[in-house]
Amino acid sequence: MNELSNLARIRDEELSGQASGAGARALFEAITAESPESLAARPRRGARRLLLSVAAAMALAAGVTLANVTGGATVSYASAELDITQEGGEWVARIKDPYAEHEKYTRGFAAVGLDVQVQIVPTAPSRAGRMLQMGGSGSRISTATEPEGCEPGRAGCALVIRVPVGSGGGAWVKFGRLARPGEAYDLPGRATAKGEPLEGVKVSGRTVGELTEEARRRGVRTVFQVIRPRENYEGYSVRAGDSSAGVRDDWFVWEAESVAAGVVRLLVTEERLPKNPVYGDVVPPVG
Amino acid sequence: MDDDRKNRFEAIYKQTYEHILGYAVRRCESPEDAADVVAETFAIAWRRFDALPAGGEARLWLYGVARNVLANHRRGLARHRHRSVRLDTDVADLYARSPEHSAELSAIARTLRELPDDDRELISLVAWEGLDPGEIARVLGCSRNAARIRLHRARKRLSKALSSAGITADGFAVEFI
Repeated sequence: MNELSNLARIRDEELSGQASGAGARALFEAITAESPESLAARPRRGARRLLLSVAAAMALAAGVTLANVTGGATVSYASAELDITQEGGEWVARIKDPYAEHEKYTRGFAAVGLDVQVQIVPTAPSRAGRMLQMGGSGSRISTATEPEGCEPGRAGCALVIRVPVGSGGGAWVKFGRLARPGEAYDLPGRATAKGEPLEGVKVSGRTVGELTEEARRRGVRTVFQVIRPRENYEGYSVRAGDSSAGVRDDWFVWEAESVAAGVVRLLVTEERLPKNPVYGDVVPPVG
Repeated sequence: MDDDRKNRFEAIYKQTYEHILGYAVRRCESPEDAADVVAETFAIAWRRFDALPAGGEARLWLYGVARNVLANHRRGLARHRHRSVRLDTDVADLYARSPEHSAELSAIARTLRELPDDDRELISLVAWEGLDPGEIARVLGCSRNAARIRLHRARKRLSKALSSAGITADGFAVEFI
């Protein structure tokens, strides 16, 4: 093997078996669940006009800018919270203020004739800017951040949503943004991921004592959640009242979640388990 | 009919998944990006199934798609439509075992990173995907001759960049491609 090929992070031969792994199967199912030719439906002219006039009336009231050029169709929208323009066959919405009321986004989309609901919730830094969930009935939307990889909530970081012009149906999408100080995360993050309080720390199977010490060194507060592994240690359940009572330093930790800025929740059991119930047969990721 | 399409797509998917995953992992700095590139590449293949060639050609066609997806990604036009925890986890695993590089290898890596994108891609397609100029031509959608000439120029520029980076072995760049 030559020098350049040694630079490769991985060789195809080392990926043998990946095609039948859980990730590959999940992706295959997600992709083929879509109709292969679900080309964007043509807009229904009449319905759209009606919507536009309602939108225009709302715009006058709300102090936003709507640009009408060809034949009265709205081609752009601008407000303090978001801008929407048409770029190469797509509506491109740039959300500048991820802390705004969700209604404001909905109104912006409606102003250009789109039915898109956007929800932006506080998350751990590793999930900020990521799409958390989406759904809908036909509108194909895609999302990104500008600049790429930035964290919505920081100045200059826009959340971008693209919708093909002429899409029918509605869509909703839920994003993560940086939490305000003290704000609990809507969805916990993996505390060992990049940018998180226990970045790079191995958690799975270590003791509560070791990890609380590590957390203390990093200035992170810990809370506990006692979990009950399911049969064969595939998955776990949590019972009300099982939170932190009686957890001792010699208990075992299976996952660390960041639940608010500087607060990590350790999922623990009293016994050492033969495998990690959070991850099953998957090796828990670190970093 | 839809089932038939799904079955044929599945066959190609299974045949090519590891190649496309490898392509993405070798080029993306983060597992999240690599997972996105794989997901978007196959989503496009599914949508454009009629254009997807059969047999060994499918892999080359998909490399071409993946290359465009990656370029869009770098321009900040990332799509995250098929995110899944399971895929992210599988891919993150691949990044967990990053190999140790010698100092010399790191210097070569840096030089390669600093090459123009097109040069780097040509050289990578040879060194990492093991393609010959005829196959590269099909990935890039150009003639075999054009691929050969572009590859030759890319190698010359790499060779020059390596020697100005102080990596001196004579004919090194030519030899290791």
